Amino acid sequence: MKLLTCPVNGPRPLDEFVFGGEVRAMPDPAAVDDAAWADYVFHRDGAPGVKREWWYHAPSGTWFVAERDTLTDEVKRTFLLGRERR
Amino acid sequence: MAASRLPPRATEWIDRSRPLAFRFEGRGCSGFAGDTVTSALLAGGTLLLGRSFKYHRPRSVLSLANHDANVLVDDGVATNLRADVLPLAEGMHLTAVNTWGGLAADRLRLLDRLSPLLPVGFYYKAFHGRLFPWWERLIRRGAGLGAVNTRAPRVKLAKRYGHCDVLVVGAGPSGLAAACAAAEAGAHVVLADENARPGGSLTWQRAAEPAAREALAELLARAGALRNLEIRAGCVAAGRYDDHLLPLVDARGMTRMRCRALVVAAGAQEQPAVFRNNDLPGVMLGSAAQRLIHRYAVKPGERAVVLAGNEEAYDVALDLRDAGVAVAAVVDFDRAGSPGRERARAAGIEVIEAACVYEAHGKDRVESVTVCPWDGDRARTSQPRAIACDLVAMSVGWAPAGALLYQSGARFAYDAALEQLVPESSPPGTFAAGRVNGVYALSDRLADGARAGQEAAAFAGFAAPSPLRAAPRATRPHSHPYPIVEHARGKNFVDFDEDLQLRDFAHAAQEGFDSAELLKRYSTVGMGPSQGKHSNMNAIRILARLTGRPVAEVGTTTARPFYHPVPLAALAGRGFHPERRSPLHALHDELGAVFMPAGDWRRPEFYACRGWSREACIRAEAKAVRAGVGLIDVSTLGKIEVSGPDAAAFLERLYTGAFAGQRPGTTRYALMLDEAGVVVDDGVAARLAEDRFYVTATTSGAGGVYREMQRWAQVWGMSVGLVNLTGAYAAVNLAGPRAREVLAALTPQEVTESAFPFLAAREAEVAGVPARLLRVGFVGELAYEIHAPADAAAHLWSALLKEGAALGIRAFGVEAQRLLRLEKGHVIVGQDTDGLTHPLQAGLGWAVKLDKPFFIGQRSLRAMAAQPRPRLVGFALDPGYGGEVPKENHLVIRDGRIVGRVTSVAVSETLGRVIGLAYVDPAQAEPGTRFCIRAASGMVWARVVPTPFYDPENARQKGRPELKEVRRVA
Amino acid sequence: MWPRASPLAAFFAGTRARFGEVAGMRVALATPGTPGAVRVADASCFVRAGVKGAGAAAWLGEQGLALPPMANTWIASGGGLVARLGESEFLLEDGYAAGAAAALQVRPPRGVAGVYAAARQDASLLVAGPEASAAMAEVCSFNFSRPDLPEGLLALTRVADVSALVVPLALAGQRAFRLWCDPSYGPYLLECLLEVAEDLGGGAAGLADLLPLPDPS
Repeated sequence: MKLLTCPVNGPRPLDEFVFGGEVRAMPDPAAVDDAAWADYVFHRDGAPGVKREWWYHAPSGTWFVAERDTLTDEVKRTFLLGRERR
Repeated sequence: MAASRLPPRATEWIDRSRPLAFRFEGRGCSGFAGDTVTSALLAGGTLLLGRSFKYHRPRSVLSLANHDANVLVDDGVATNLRADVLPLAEGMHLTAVNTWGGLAADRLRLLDRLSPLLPVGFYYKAFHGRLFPWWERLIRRGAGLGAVNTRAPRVKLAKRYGHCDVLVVGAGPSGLAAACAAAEAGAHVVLADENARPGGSLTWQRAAEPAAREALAELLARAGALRNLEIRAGCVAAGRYDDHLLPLVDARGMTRMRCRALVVAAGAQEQPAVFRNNDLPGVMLGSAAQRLIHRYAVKPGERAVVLAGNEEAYDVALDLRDAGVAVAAVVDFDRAGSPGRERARAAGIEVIEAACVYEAHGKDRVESVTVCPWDGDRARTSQPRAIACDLVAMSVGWAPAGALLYQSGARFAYDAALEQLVPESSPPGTFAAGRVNGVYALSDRLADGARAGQEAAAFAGFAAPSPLRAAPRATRPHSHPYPIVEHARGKNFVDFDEDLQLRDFAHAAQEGFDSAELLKRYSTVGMGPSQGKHSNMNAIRILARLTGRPVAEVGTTTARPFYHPVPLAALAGRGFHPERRSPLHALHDELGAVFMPAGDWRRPEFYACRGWSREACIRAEAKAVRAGVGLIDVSTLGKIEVSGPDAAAFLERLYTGAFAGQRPGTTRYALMLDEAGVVVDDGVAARLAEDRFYVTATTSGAGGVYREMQRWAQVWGMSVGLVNLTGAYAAVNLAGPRAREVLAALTPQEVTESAFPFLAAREAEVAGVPARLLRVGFVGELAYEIHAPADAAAHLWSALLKEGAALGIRAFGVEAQRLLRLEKGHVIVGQDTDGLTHPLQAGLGWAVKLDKPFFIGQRSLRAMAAQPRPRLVGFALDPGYGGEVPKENHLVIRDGRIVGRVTSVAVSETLGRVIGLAYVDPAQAEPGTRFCIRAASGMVWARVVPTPFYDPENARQKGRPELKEVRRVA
Repeated sequence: MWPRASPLAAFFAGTRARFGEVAGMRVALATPGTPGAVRVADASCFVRAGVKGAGAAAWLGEQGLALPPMANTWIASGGGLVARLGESEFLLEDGYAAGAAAALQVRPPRGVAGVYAAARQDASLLVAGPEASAAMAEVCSFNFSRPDLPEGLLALTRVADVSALVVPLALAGQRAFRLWCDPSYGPYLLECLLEVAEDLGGGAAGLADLLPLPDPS
């Protein structure tokens, strides 16, 4: 089983985590038209590459962001939202 | 007797002081502790050990290395046990698998004569048309392996997690050297080897020579002195999974071993030569003969022919001669001189150069061979020479045991100098050493192992001061490039598991299956129990020749886990099936509860009364709530405390309703949508203080709601504290016109209608327990949801039942509650809604404040609000209806089209009608409209009825039943 | 005070254990028979309190409590313990005698932004005996056996597929474990651990068998 590194709890097997989808910014609901909103709600970019994803470490209740290359399934880094360090 | 026990020798693994008796095919046999079943049988002179999979040809030992797929036995409990490695035990009763009438008299051996009728691809061609049943019966009887004993006792093996810094697979000289080097660098090392003892080739290849014995003794002494090195013998590394997770399987069960770095020193598997009747008992790999001699002191034959394609063949010849076997000749494919050949000649052994074994002869065992000159490509049959022998030892080449490397993502390339596939690159943290890496000389293997061990330790964080250099790969071939001899009459087997002959490959290629992966699937090569360990390499060589390509270009098939069959008992092991129990579980049990699963939870469906039907029990429970008072455990509800300065603003964004203006001490319905505007959960939000809410969620939604709350709190950067109290708090619903009387007696809280009105929330002690009280109306009566710490639940429940006893209080279960709420037309999220339902469809528009600045799902809902969609309506069947009652998910049909479905339905005794909720065409949603449900036995007409069906003015749950008559369904 | 019920009461009620009361909860204190290789006791009785939020550490400090300085560590505290779950959540548990947790239950943080009381009603187990580590290795993938395991480390992880807090500790010179999980999963987790314990040659134990009661004098 794959390991994923929770920024707070360290590397853990994947079955301790819940996937939360890609990190995406919500467009301003008041400003967008229906088509743009539908695109946000329903469309996901499936092209392989480095994606920012939400992951949740269930035993500790920790949400964090993982940068994962969906082509190689390699996780480049993980960090708490807003505590990203370059 | 062909084989017999040799005098005691220093290398043997058997304990002659511990004789063991066992039975094979009903016959009494004996052996010693340390024997395998095969070695004991051979030592006793039994050479016929099994029948082949398809043609039922006689078979015997081939590899003695865990790959003898034609010698599978059944011990009465487990089947398909590999006799070549199965440790002998006292009192075993063994039979060979896949025979009809016993091994020796197997009636299915006639299939061998029919083999021309059963060519490659036969399965695909035969399994259609009218002959299918006939073929199927024949195949099912004839082909196959052992039969599963479904009455065998359950075998429970342990499954555990393990951890180490460096895992070394293979305890030959390379693996031992690697493990020692890594452990000496400070790493915690586990060394796993499938053999009963460590040592690898040092325990069978010229194993009696001082060089081998001294090297082994030195390695074992070095390893034994290292406390951070654990050797696991009899342990198969069955696969390699992401991030270095390897299941290690032994007799006790499975260890899921997680290592930081992996050294694969699994060695090389000897490959057979292909010639006519190369499967006869008595024809075996040279390494098998050597294992018999050195490990088990079994003399593998009296008179041997060694078929040579490499230098190792001469070691075989010398080992045979030293064991007292007469070596009639070494038949060498090659002409060029070699040191081995000179040693053999010096020992008086005849070497026939540039020759091959063209054919072996014998009925149930080899009696002689025909040797023909080999012109580098094929046999010249004009000059045959017959040699009598009872043993043919094949020593023509090797294939790397590279499965774990492949699974790690290593790439292999064909080394033309070595005539072997070797790893070209390995992913980070994976290291190959020894013969699997193409390194053959003993000194080189020791150096290569030490190098790999050091690199692995360094990768795991234990760097060595002076790194070692890589050892050289062998520069001379250890494998013959094409040890394959054509024969007009076939029976020159490439795959012993599947009885595939050389000509089958030509057929497959002719039919266009000419890539390695296609050939495998069409011919089934490598798909038998040994998974191609002694057939894939030859198959690749054959395919290369058939298609006129170099071996390097043909490639190999994918080596997936498991590398080796794993007993189901080890896989099943201990299973985990988490189950949640309410703190009242034992009390429900005492009351006769019949439990039902609700997610992970187990909830009382109803409470069984002796002599009553399920329906009668449920009706009685519902009646108690309508007429008197009932009590239900609702501890499974999600319970989340939302506190902090932004608590109200947070709920405003999260739920559809308005909470900013909610007064402390009141509750409001809380409906949650997803971003697509779909209903995902509902509950009640009680405002306990200006900055503190207590929010309930559905049983199944609780975990997800809390998770999403945590995420949105971060994303929105709001100052809220979230505490999940789902398990920490128990909850019960005390419901019925007399609920107030029960509660009043147990709490100092004033419970009059004015002091504690409908939809109010209070914090007060009940039966001495600090509780949160919510006046809610799910079942449509005067009702109090009482939330209290889980450790007080039993006390609270008992106090309520005791206090209510005089009023006829009754515990009620999930089924009664579903009926009661249906009478009120209350929607259950997930039952009356699905993954597409928006709240306006489900009649929940009243709970949606579309004019708020923002809530999740609002934007989508705005876009969808005007779209015509099926609407959830209440319906009733005609009074006196006596036909089939529709069930949940029966379809609503209009003009022959599906327009909706029934989501809830029940016979309501209170109302004297069948009532339900259903999605219908918006044009049919007006009360009074009739619509059609397709039930199992035909169409049923229903009428749309306004909800609530029962007590439409909600007078009862407001605690004022005197105000209105309960209106029955029109 | 009401009689507190352990989430694991139903199981122990069926054993021949000798019961006693700890902090108002009836708990199996002693079991007959010889100690086995793995012993599992109900430790749910101890009084617990939880505090979480960005301001939790500072607020607890103001209450005069010594806190574990790092995330996911714990310290012994007046017969009980203080555990830091992640960075900003704390679990206080008293021992046999009332202490900081009991005090905090009476006066929880209220109305302080960034400091929130998190009521705890955990099912809690104590796993001890010479094969305690082997038992844990059957139900938990966390590596508690590594030689460089930091002192005072705790793990929020999964045990038998259930989220749990695990604290490795030394008991009578041997590695033992305290486990806390949601009370609704308690009976299940106990069953799992008892099955493992029995396979390894052990079983249920009384709490005082493993964690002796304080000397009454």
